[in-house]
Amino acid sequence: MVDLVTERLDDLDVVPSKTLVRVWFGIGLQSFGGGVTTMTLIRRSVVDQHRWLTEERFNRDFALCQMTPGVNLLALTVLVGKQTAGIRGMIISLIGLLLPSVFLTVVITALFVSIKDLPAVKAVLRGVLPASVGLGMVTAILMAKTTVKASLQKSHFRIGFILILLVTSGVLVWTGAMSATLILIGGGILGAVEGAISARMSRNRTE
Amino acid sequence: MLRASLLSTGGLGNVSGLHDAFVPHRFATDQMFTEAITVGQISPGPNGLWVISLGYLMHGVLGSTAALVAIVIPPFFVLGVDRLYSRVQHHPAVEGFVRGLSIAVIGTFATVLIKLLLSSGFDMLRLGLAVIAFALGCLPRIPIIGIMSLCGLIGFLARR
Repeated sequence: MVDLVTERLDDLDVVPSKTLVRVWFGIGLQSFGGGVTTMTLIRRSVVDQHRWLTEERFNRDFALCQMTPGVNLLALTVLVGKQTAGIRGMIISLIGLLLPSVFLTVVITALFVSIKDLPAVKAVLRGVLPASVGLGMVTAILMAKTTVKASLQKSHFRIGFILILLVTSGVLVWTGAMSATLILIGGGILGAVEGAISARMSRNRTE
Repeated sequence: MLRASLLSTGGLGNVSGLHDAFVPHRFATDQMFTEAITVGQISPGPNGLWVISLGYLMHGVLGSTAALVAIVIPPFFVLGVDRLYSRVQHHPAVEGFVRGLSIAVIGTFATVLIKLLLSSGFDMLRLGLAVIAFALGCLPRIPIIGIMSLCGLIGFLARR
């Protein structure tokens, strides 16, 4: 059985620095509209375009980043950077991402007071925010598809579990009944229980 | 700032911590917070960069540099998490935990997206743009910056 988590699509050990700088700088420069856009750009570059990571690996890395302190996407950058080119990759990816985005953030802050009430600026923002939402949805669906696809090989029980969990977590966050952190931890625990049960069930079947 | 980042997760998790730390002591005002958070959402990069904006408003370039240092350090903890996970990942319960967590992340993420769309005022234009961006986003060849620019342009043109 292939170990999906450690598999990488191409058998490359190391991504050249120049490529890393180009890719991450590009992401840092283009990701207007918040973390959603940044996340979409990262996934597209890393999984679809350059195939540095498999979909499964990306999902797993992203999940781990939810559990670490600090900004999730920066943790993701560090993790992906390390997986693409070790310590060098880590540093270059982080700098590549942060250099343009931090610079622009400071510039926009400085200018913000003078431009924020301009109707033109407001109008553009009116367009950009829904766009980032639409794009974010694509990413969310792609990520869900990856997990569902992997589970198709396992059991219907798991797929049913996934769908129920997906909907439940969405509803809980919508109604504000539970804090996001609790939902994530709850999802994880339920997943652990499901994983243990499924493993036991398949063990019983083969015996 | 370092403490708040370490004790939170996600781009906006540290807001209340920092607010309590700064505003009562008059290091920052509520308005600074609102502006910084808005800038964080507009400007490129993760939302977490809003603290850079706050740092700048509080103390110029020095402030933003301090904020930068504060947010860059915690993410490295993920390496420890990754190493730990690699050792236990083959246990079905652990795998299941991460899987469950991923699904919960996706479910909450998608819902927050919808909430975000509705929060700034619901109208057909916004809905239409989200749908257009979604449709175009499904085609991998179309650059994201192109989609964003197009929607920004439509937003601009539609302002009358």
